[in-house]
Amino acid sequence: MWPTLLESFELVLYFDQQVWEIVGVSLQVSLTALVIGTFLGLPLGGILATNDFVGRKWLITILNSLMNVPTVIIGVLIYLLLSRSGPLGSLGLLFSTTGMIIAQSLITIPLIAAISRQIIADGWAIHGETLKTLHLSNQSQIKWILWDCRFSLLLAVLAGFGRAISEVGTVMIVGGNIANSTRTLTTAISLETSKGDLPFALALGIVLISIVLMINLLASVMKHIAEKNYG
Amino acid sequence: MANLIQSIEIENLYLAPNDKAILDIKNLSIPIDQITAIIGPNGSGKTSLLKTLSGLQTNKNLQLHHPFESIFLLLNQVTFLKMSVRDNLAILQDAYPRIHDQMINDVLQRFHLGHLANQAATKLSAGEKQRVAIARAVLVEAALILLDEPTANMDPATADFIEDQILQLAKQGTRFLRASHDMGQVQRLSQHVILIVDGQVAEIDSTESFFKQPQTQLGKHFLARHLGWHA
Repeated sequence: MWPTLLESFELVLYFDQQVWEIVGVSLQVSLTALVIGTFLGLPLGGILATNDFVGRKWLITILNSLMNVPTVIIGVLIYLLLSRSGPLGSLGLLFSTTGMIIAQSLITIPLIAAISRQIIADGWAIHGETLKTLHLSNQSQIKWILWDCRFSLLLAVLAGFGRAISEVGTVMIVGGNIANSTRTLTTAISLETSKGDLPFALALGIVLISIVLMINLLASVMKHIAEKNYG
Repeated sequence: MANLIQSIEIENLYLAPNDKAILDIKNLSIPIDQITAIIGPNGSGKTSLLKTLSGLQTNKNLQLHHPFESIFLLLNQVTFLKMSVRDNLAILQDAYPRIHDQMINDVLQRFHLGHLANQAATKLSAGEKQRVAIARAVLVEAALILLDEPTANMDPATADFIEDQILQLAKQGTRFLRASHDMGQVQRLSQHVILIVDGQVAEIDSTESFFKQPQTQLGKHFLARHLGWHA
């Protein structure tokens, strides 16, 4: 075990090119999906938290359910859509990073929307009446309540990032785990473990854990400083 | 020069959120000279009446007629977003683009808030928060300001300051309709009084006349309880 661990640390410390290529693909796909998930999920959560309309409760139930759908199922659905005989087959997005981004966005959007809806609903219970008395438009009210909840919403965004970067099933099905193209940290770990290259798999695991830890730490420090300043 | 007495006409105001009527008013004409006070026991419907006039609450057949171009409600429990005092005022620019930064600076100075402009609004004292809240109403230049117990739980100095500001604005032409439990303040500031008991209007009169000789039994009981008044 120790030699394997030592070798894996060496691979990380000596900046093995193959490792960093895989890290690059992982970050590109996950961060892009996170940006899409944030820009669509937060307003969706905001609308559901601050508006009362017919079907709202159903939408919330669907959203909460989507949050728990196994990602491989989303992978299969996107595969069917993007495969050559599928409705979007002509776009040629199967086994591409774009296809992986689409699939991961579909995972992050409901997750971020569902968590943010709950956070925003709590904020709305406090500020809703005051914001309405200011004669702000509906969009403006959502904008400011999102801003007010920004520190707590970091948690929703972090959850989205965690889900995206640690996800295996969807990226494996939609991306195909092609070397130097669509291979991510998680699909590579899975492959290298099955091949028996444990040092390489562990090296990738160390990088994955480090990325997640660093981003969580950064978010936690930001939240702490901001809450200290603004209450 | 005497102010022209304006009025708010209300028809069919019936609010029963949980099948229990909190306001049941068929017809009401509220005279507003400079400042009109709404008085009544706790839970009588004063706040609900103010919320209805501001558009925050409504019911199906409600009809409101008034000459005021803009109405601004200042709730008793005003909340502030996790931003600086200045930014909490600046959000009004979304709804009122004519409000520019210099106007915000001027109003901050007027309410002795200049030194707190960049501090978190959530960390202000209750009195300072109320000053920011009234500063919002001044920025909006509302024709009619609805105040819900604006000096409740304030220290005497802050209450005097807010009272002075209300009087100054009233002299400049802003009309006020304010719910209050402070009978001394009602007598000092208001020209007319509306007594609401159990969601219904019990008496409308000039302040002088009401406090000298209430016309109804409910009015007499109310004053007897609050001021030890006896016929």
